[in-house]
Amino acid sequence: MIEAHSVVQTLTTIRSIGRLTGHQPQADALAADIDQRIQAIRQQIPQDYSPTILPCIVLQPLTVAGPDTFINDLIEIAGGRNVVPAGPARYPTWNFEALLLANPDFILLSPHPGQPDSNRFFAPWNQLKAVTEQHIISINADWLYRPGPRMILGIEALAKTLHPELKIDAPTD
Amino acid sequence: MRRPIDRTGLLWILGLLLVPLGAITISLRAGSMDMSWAQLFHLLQQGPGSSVGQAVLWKIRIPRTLLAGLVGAALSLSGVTFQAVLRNPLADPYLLGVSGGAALGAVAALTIGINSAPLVSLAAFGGALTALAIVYLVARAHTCSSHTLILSGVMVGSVAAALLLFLLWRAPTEATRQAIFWLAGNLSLADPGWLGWGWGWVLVCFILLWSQAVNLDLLTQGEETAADLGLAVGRTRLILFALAGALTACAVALAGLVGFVGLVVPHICRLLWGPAHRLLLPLAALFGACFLMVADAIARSLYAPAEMPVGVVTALLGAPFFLLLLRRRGGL
Amino acid sequence: MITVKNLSFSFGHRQLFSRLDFTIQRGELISILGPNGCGKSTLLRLLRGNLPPVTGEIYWHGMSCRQISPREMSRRVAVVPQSTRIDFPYRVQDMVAMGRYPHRRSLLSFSNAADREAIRHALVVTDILALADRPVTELSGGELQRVLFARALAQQAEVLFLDEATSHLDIDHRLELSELLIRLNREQGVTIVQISHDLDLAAATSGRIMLLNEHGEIIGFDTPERIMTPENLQRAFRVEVRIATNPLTGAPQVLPLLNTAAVQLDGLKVHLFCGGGSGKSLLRKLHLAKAAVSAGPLNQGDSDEEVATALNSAVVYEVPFQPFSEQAISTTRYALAQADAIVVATIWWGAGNLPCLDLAADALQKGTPVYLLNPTREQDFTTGKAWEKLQALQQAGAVIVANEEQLVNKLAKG
Repeated sequence: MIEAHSVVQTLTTIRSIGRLTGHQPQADALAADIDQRIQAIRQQIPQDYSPTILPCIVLQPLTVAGPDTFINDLIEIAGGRNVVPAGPARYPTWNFEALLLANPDFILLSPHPGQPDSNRFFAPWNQLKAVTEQHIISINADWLYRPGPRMILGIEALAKTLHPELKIDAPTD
Repeated sequence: MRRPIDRTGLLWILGLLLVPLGAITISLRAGSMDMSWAQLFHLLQQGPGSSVGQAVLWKIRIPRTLLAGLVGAALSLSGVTFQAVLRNPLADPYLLGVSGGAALGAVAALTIGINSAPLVSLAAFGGALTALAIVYLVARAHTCSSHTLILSGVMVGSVAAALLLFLLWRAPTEATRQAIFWLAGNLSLADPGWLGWGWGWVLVCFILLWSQAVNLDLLTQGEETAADLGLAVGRTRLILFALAGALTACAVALAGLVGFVGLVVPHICRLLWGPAHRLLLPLAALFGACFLMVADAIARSLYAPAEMPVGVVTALLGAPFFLLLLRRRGGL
Repeated sequence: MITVKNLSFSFGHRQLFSRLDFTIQRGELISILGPNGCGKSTLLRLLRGNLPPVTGEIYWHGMSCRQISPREMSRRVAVVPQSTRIDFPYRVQDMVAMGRYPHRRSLLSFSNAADREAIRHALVVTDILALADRPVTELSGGELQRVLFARALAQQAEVLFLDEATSHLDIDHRLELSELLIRLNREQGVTIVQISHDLDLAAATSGRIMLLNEHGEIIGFDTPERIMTPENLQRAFRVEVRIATNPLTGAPQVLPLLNTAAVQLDGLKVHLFCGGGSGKSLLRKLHLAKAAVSAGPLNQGDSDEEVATALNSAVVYEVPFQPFSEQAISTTRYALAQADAIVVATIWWGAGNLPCLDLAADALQKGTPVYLLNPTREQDFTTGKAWEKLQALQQAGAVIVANEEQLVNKLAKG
């Protein structure tokens, strides 16, 4: 069984699977490519500015991702800070009060069937920076929550959103 | 037989004013954001507005406190009624298939892609009342014994649970997650726009129920005795079931299945104030409201900013309190 | 006041009453007596209109029960139930206050002066004023019974129904409440209908007694002197009694005769011809009296065979639906030769069991006494052959006995 809770672990996993299935060269190349693109982002991210972000898994009830999660790793690589503190639950339920208090620069979510419309959902809360600055961002869930090669797409999309000045090509669906 | 109000009476009245006031302030002060007394009074004076403090108090905490009070009162009233009519101490608002019906309604709505809170609430409401109506018709409750009624309720509830499992098995994961939260009871889901309607509904049900207080007393004596004393048993039972069902349906629609309140609050109130319903009903409503407000305050603040399921707190708070009372009073 | 016309009722398939007709006058004090399960409580509920009759009609002051609303009915009649299950700890006075329900005006309480006076009066006359604030769940059975009584009194109805209401009481309170009933009846003209198990008390206090048998048929409905006869009580309760006159009250008093279970037969060898359930209770009575019973021939699986086998009697077995075999007949002959007495139960006679009577006749000739238990012509399905043989037996010296108690007593006397 292979488990991956972080980007580094995922890269190791890609290499191991390549070795085990006899595709070592391809796997190494894939991992190296991802690693290289991550380094490129890291180098360009400004040291003095790291916007806060709230990763929402589900809107109703508001369920968010804590520090001990894969998505948290992606956020940090992309030069953001997760506002969710460590707690007894890895994916805790929040209420709007916690949200108002945390007041993140960005609210991150993924479009899902069966979810309320996110703009309408957050619209009444104009005390939130993310709402007034229209920083409610939506990124494909497959790029954010699956520890696999597509995670680099998620990282790049996130990085470009948090730091529009980066010289990378933001992927599109 | 009427006694003048003496010192203990005054103490009770004082307590009845102070306990709700205390519960409300606890509920208003609890949450991620620290709020001193001074701040609280200041924000209350200011009224609703656009500052973060005002938004937290007026848009989040006050509606939440009102919702907890509403749900707690509705569930307690319904529990009192079901326990008296069925003459069963284990009866609770969810016994007669009401929970199953409501859950089925809500989850059915969720799985077909309806996700606006008001519509899910409506579906739950409809499901609860439908289940109760089916139980009533199946058991031919006008004349049947309370055992038959309970068994029919459990059966209808089982069918609803089976259908629910089937729906969840077929459903996309998102709907499942939402359904689970809903089944565990959650005071953050309701649309604040429904609060006014909910309070109106509960108030009307309460007044109607209170007017039946003596009939409830009579029914606790058993159907035959109640009939001997001149009660139209079948009709009264129908009215009481409809009212208790309406209260449960309202609570469930707004907050999902919040457990334990409707079971234990009636018992606690009966131990404290006796079984006579003209006193028991208002006190149970008041106590239930306070109980859920405090439980919800704890659920919100213990691991803030994260929020615990309120059902965990109601059970962990209510059961020991109840057992303590039971020991001191030496039995039900 | 209460007129019952052509009343029939059944519970599922069990016919309980058929075509009862009777009238209860205003101011009467009536007791209903009868064995367990004869439907006394059901009759009260029918009179009260709680149960709809299958046929017939019940009139209160000429108005059909069906047209009287529950509340109106509860102003006319109050019921003291058998001790009931109490789940909720109401205070005694709250419980008694429920009796004011039929008269209430306010939705929430019974608080006007008339209510309070009625409640207090009921508490006083039933001697529970001191308990007024106690929860009913803490009371003894007798105290609770008095609370139920007080609640019915608080109803201030012109008719009072009591369903074995005094059976849980100690003798002092039972007599006290009986006196209270008589006073209510005499002084306030309250009509009282009570179900009782206390025959003497019923005879001493009632104006009329309705005696029912186990099938819910009225054996008689008349004054205690006319109802309390040994024959009636035998028909109702299947016991033998003598009736004496109570020297103090002049009312009939029931003296139960020697209980058959106390009669000792001490190993007396009795052979019993029975079958189809005709010997079941006799087998048990003989067994209790310590007789050495043999029975048969009996078909395997016959209800009498099952009882006889269970009681360790010597049973001559036979295969069903066949004439008696040679072996069965010779075994029976052997048993008859050993027996001190032979009993022929009230059997349904057919071609199959006809040889039993020949066997009995042989034994009688050899000097063994034969007893015929209440033989009837109606149970003969052999175009009169069985009846002829029974009469021949009687002429030859067989003794006819009317019932099982008499039989056991006769056997004891030898």
